[in-house]
Amino acid sequence: MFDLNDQINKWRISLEQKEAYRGTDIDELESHLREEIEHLSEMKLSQEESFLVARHRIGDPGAVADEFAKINPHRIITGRLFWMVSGLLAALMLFICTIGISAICVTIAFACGFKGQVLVVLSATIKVLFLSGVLFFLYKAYKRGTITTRFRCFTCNLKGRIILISSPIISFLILQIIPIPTPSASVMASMYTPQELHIVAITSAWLHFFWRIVLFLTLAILFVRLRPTTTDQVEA
Amino acid sequence: MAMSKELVAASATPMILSILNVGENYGYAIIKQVRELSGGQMQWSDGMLYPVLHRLERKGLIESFIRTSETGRKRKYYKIKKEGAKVLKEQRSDWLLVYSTLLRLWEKKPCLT
Repeated sequence: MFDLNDQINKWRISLEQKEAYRGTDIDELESHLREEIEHLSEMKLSQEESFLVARHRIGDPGAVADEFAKINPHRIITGRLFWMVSGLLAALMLFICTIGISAICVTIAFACGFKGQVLVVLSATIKVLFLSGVLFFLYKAYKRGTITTRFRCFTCNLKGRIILISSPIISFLILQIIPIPTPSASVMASMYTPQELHIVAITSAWLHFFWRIVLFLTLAILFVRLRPTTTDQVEA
Repeated sequence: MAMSKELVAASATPMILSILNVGENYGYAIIKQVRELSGGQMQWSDGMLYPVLHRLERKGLIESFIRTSETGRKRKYYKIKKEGAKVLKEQRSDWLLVYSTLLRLWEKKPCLT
């Protein structure tokens, strides 16, 4: 069953993926597309045929995007900077959440009576699990194709921008002002013998080392996989 | 044989300004008019029209505004400005000069050797 609005939405998404267009440009092109489709339908073409002809008449997507890019040069640079900054902010937020959640879990475990190396292993495990869970969720959302458009819509209006800018500031303030109760180094030092502390410190250091390598490798792989390709991604 | 891209691009500005000089108009109607006036010979790819319109707007030759039709459809309309009318007059005389010069060249009998 040919669904015109669904096809037009897919066409819109394929345009939004190119950096050259502003939101108003795409609105204008969509209005033009719909008028062309109406005009062709009056000439006895089916909806599907009208859509295909109208889309073809808009022109080669690459050439049109190039023309728009020539008149929107600043948009490309600010667009890319925007994604870089969003990525850094998202990574920072994720980092803060991971540490926070692991600290909460460790505190609960400590209150239940666990000590020493168990706490360190627990802390590292929670961090890895939480991070993997979030990345898996993001991957699923990315595969569905909704995440980039939803994010763009979210950040297009003022409310979205305010939330985006204020959330890392608020999280940072929460982390600094409200101390998260966690067995700090000084507390641990008073509870263990120097040998135990020594072992705990070494285990902690190794676990953190491996965790950071895994994190770096994951980000590097994501960076390579998420690189925008030059081929057109429109699915007919 | 398709017209050269440079010729299409160069002629787009005077055509658009001339159409807007008659009255305000929107993208789809402008393309339809060009198609009709050229007897279907000039088929601009629709997507190329809008970058030209935006460029002219940026240069201050035309201005745009949104109007909602009775059916509720929002359209971006374009209107020519004083500066645009001035540029149109200059381009008109340039094109007429090119046209008359070429016509004079082609009226001469070809050399048969």
